[in-house]
Amino acid sequence: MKAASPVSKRRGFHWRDHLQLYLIMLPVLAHIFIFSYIPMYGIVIAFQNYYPGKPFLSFGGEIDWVGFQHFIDFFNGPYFVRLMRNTFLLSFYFLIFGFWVPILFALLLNELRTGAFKKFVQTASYLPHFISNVVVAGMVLSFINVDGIINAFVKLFGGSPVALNTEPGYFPAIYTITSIWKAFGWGSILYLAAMSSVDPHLYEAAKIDGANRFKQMLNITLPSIRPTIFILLIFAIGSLLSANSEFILLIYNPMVYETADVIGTYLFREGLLGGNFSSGTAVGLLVSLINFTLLYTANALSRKYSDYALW
Amino acid sequence: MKIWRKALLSFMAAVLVMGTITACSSGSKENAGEGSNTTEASGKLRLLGPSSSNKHIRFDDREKYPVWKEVDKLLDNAGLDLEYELVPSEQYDVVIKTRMASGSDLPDIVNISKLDNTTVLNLAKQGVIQDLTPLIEKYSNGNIKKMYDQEFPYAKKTTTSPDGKMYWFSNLHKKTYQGKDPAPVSLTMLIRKDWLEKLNLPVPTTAQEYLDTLKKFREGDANGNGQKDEVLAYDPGIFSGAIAQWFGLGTDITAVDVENKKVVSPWYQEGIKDYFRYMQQLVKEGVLDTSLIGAQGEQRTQKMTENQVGSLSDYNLATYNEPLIKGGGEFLPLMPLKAVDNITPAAQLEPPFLVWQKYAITKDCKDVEAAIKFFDVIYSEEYANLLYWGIEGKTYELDSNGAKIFINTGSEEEQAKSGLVAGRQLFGDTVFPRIQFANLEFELTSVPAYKADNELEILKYTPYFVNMNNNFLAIPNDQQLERKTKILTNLTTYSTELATKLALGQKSLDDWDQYMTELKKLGLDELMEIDQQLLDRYNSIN
Amino acid sequence: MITALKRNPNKIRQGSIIVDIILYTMAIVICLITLYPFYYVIIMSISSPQEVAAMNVFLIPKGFFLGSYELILKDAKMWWAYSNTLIYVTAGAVLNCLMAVLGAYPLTVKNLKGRKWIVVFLLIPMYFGGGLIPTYLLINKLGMYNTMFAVIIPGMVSIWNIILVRTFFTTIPEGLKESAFIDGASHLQLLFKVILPISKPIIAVIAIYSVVGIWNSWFDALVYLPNEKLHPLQMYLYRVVVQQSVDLKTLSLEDTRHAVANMLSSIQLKYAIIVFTTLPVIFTYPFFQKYFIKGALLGSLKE
Repeated sequence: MKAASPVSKRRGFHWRDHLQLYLIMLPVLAHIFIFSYIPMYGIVIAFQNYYPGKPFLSFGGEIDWVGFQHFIDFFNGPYFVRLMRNTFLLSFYFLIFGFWVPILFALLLNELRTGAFKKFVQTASYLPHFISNVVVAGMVLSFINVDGIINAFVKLFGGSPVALNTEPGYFPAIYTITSIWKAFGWGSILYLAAMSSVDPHLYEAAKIDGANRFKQMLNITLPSIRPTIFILLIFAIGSLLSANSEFILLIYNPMVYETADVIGTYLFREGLLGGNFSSGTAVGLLVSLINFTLLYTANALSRKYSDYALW
Repeated sequence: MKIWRKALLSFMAAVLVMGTITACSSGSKENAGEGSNTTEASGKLRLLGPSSSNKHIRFDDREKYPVWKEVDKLLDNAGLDLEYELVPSEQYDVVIKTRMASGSDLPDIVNISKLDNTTVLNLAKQGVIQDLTPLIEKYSNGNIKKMYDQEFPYAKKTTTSPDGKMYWFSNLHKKTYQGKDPAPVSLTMLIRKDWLEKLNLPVPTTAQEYLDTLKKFREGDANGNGQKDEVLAYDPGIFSGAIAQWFGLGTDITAVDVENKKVVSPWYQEGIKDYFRYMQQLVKEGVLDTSLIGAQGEQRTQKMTENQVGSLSDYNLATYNEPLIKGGGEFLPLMPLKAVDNITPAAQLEPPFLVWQKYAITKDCKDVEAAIKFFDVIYSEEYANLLYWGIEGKTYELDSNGAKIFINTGSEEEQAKSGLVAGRQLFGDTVFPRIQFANLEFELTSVPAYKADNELEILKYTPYFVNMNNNFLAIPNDQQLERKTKILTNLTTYSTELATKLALGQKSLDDWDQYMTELKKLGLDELMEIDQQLLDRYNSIN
Repeated sequence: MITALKRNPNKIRQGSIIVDIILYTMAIVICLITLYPFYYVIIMSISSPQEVAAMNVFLIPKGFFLGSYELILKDAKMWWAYSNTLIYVTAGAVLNCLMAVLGAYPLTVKNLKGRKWIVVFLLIPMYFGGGLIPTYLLINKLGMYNTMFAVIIPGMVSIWNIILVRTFFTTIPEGLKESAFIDGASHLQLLFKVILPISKPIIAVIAIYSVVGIWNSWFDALVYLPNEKLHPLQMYLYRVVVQQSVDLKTLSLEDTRHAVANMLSSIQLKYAIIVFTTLPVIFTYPFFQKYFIKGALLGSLKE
């Protein structure tokens, strides 16, 4: 192989490079094409009245094409505004209050001195990630109950107990705090990995220049994870319409629908009545389109102002 | 060169991993019971269904159960050779949806209970499952017809599709008293009998007394833990809790009034406002535990275990609540209580006749005759007896009046050891339909006298609503079903939320007209109309 | 690498004690908050079942009962599932890392034609999918239904992982690549010889993401593996949870009795299963952790 390319000359970019690169990617692209793109024809049911057993595509007239009817129905439905608002807000709160937590936590860990303790804290931080939603929900519900731990504290400080689980105003806070708590430790792993590639000599040099720990963090550690931050931020913006409905289902109730009912939970209830294949797909498609547009926009903005972009 | 060696190594590793997997999967595919050979040999059938989630009594161990040996004999005599594919029941929902949707490589007989009516009718339209009527005419020895026409005449009403054909067989159940009288059980309010006695309170006879009693439970610290935490566990968002019927309300957004052959909606019924006023009172007095509204079973179990539930809505003959209570306790079922002057309180009944679950013959079934023979065995009296009662002298005996009574064969673990179980525990609801001739006599012997008395009193009680409204509606056609589904999603959300908020006093009864306008806008009237049509058709089928 | 590690703390970490105290206090508080749920699960799993049903175990176990563990340990199917999970995790993690690296590298080459379109090609499936039934039909056509492949093969490429790896690769100085090309290396050589050795942290991240992700997954098994013998461990938890969420309102008296009995017998089982199934994977973490430590790559960055 070595003989094939000239040793002395700095190489230009040839068709051979392209061939090599495409070949390297081929398994990945083929896999994605087969397992992600081929089944995508299933999206057509968003424009039909589909039930299992019916064909997806056929020319025999068995398909009941309805065009954009499912989209229009959802749009005109009495809960459209509320569902969109709740779904957006819950994701938005998570972004605003949750996005920086793993970064801060990773920076904190990075400043800790002792190895064993540091490892312990890190391992402990990602434990909530392993506890299934059902158990977390059970715990949260027993905490926020009128005679739960949180109200015990409230009483301790002289307040009167609050019905946290029946008051719509508290739901976003409960959801956001629980989600952050469940995710931040796990999310920090990526930042720690990025930080580990910093050359320690940089810190030594900075110290000689008289930079204190805070400045070192600001000028050396933070820049090292900036690409990761931006990429994650772009994706977080691209999922502003995807609240964790699996978890919400477990902790909401009709009294807090006002702030808690999201697209996912609504579709779940629709599914219980049977036959939501088509409208579920339609709504899912709509959400995906919005999310994808958000991602696209965020990426464009990021490329313009920060020079980090997905493409 | 080193890189290539590395790449080669990792490739080899991957191949090795794959090799292991292939070995494993090919090894286990045989166990899957998914033989690819077609069933042309006569009497050979492949059956697909869910396995029960029972931890002790398992279908896999069927050979060691005497009741299975009997059933096996019946199947052998019919010349059947059956091959079962049982999928864990928790998974069956997804598996059956995908398998039926793909429409290829289907078993001969399949349990499609997890599919809703529309899906099944669509499958029928695509020819994935077969119309049973001509097959029965041609191949049956008469058992099926006898069972459907004579013993369970209502079964056809709920299983005949709009096109007049029948696509699935069902579980059939009837409960009788003294050999012939239909014996419904009721869903009612249960109240802590031991607390009443402890605090020296009489059994409440009106809604007002009921409320006062629950208040006294709190004031008198009935559970003796020093806190006012004795509550009523009740969900005001739906109408299937028994208090709603005291006000003459139906059991769901649309409910069937069986006797008058009419579909009603609680939102239009006379007692509705009084019901919410009463709920508001319960909430105001702190009696109704709002944290349990819309809660999962776990939260309710928690309160029950903590000895805090003074009253709840459940079956009058339920005996599963008492063992939960820490320190023990007894629940007394109440008769429907008078709440409003001009309304006779209604009872909520579980119909004495039930038809549920679906078992179909697929298009891939080569030996249809064998399939019908299978169901002829199922709809025989011997099978029904083995399924529900088991073997005389082992799992059941006759009392002095000749009524069948189960013999207590211990816990499930002990039963699994001794093998003394009735068929339904071992194979009911899998690919074997449940045909049940139950009786009230046994139910009555297995509960305390005060529950039995309530049951005997409720037998003749009118008026009543039923907890399973769908058992009285015919199968909707495409348009009806599409409309129903569309309406129900939003209507249920609105109704549940509204009812909850009205009960909690978060919304005022003064704006009633506005709520009604909204309910109408969401299609309440249309829904009632469709259900009325379905009820009428149900009644016209015979 | 080890010397670099040992040297670092003393040389670059000489802040004030007060800052240290604050940092450590914060770390301890965070630790307590995040350790609690697992502690909760553990004490629930060994308390007496009635206390578990009452859900009033918060700080110390109430009563003592190991019956749930006994039930799990005696269950042969559980061990069978354990070995299945090991196969899924090993195969899945190896393939995921390999595919992520192969997918990511070409995207870091600036001159690659159609790079933007390839990225978009990758991103679209993150948002749009064909749904359950078309995917099922595909798996079935490929003959993977009810085989282990149905769980391993479709999950071996994670687009998210590819993007993470690519992001990491872009931080590698261009100079390194240039010098390799001057030595006449091919792209594949460059990738495996130069880039991979200094990308251990991200490979470790992908590995742990895959290990944990596959360990915790059950959905593919739910859909594609009706055969219980192929089930991974998490299907156990799923099944217990489903058994508990039966809607009693729709059941007849007779069926309610059975459902309630079933539910009660598994209330505590849930907690025991979580402990039993998560402990092993939690202990894999420290193994990967060493790659995340600051300065761990010092040696390999020397040019």
